[in-house]
Amino acid sequence: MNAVMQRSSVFENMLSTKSITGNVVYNVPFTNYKVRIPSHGSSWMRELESRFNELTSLEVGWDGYAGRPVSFTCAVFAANLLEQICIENVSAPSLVPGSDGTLQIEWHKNQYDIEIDILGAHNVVATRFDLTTEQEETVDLQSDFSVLADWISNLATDRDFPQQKTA
Amino acid sequence: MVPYDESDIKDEDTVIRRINPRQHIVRDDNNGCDRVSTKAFSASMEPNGGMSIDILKLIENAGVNAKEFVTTPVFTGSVVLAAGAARKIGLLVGYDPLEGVSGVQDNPHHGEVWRTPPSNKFSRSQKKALLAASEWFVEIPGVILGT
Repeated sequence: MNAVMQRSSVFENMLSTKSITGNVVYNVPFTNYKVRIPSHGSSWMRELESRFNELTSLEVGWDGYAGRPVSFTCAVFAANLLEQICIENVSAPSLVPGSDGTLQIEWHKNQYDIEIDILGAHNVVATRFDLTTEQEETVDLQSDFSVLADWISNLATDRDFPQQKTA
Repeated sequence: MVPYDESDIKDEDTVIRRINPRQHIVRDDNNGCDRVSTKAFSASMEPNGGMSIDILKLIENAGVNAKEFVTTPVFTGSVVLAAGAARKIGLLVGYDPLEGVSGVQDNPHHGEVWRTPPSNKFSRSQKKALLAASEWFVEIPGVILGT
C-alpha cells in the first residue's frame, strides 16, 4: 500500500491523517509536511512565524521520549493570542513545546517571569512572578485574556527597583 | 499507566530527565543567562500523563552506559535528581516502560513522575522545586538549571 503525500501551506482545522481513494483508506505520513500558521501582522508574529512552523513540525520523540509536535490547535490559538496582546516595544517571547503537544509562551525581563501555558484552545494557565516582591499570581483563563495585556504592558514599564543598602 | 508510586524505587535512587538543547532553553534577561524552562518539568495533560524520566539503576543493571543511553537516538542534555526529591513535593515516581509507540525507540528503563490524581498538572512551585533539586548529567554548555 503506497501512502499518498499531500502538501498544503494553509490549514484551518486539524490535519486529517487519512486519504480515501475508492474504498481504501491510506495513512498519510506527516514527515515532509510543513504546517504553516496563518500569517499575522504584528512584529511578534513576523519574528515567530518560523518558530511556530518548527514547533508544529517536531518529530515524534523530539524530547528523547515520546514527545509529540505542538498541536495545530495550540499553535493557532497561541498565535492569535499573541497577535491580540502584542505590544510593539516589548520583544517577542520564547516559545517552549510540551511533550504532549501543548505550548508555553514566556518572558523573563524587567524583573518579571511570565509563563503562559497554552493547554488547548481557551484553556490557558498563566503565571507571573515578580522578582522584586517575590509575589506570584496564577490565573486560569478561557475567554477573557485582558490580564495578560496588563502583564505585557508592565514588561515595557520603567520600574524603580529597591536601592541596595550600603555599609 | 495509571499513576502509582513504586516502592522498588527508593528515595535515594537517581532518576534522569532529558533536556532538549534546542527546545527547552529560554533566555532569562532578568539574570543575563540562558536557562532551562519550567516547561521541561511539566506533566503531560493526556490521561494518566506524567513527566517522563529514565531510571538510572535499571539502565546500569542492564549493563548499559547511562550517558550514552540518554543521548541516543535523539541527542539531548539531561539532569539527575533523587526520586525522593519528587516525593518530597507530593509527587509519585513509578515505572512505565515505553514500548510499541510508533516512531519511538522502546525504552524499558522509562518511568514517570506523576501528580497525585485527579489533577495532572504540576504547580509552578513543584516545577521550580524539581529544577532546584536537579544537577547536570549531560550538561548543555552555557545553560543554567534555575535561578
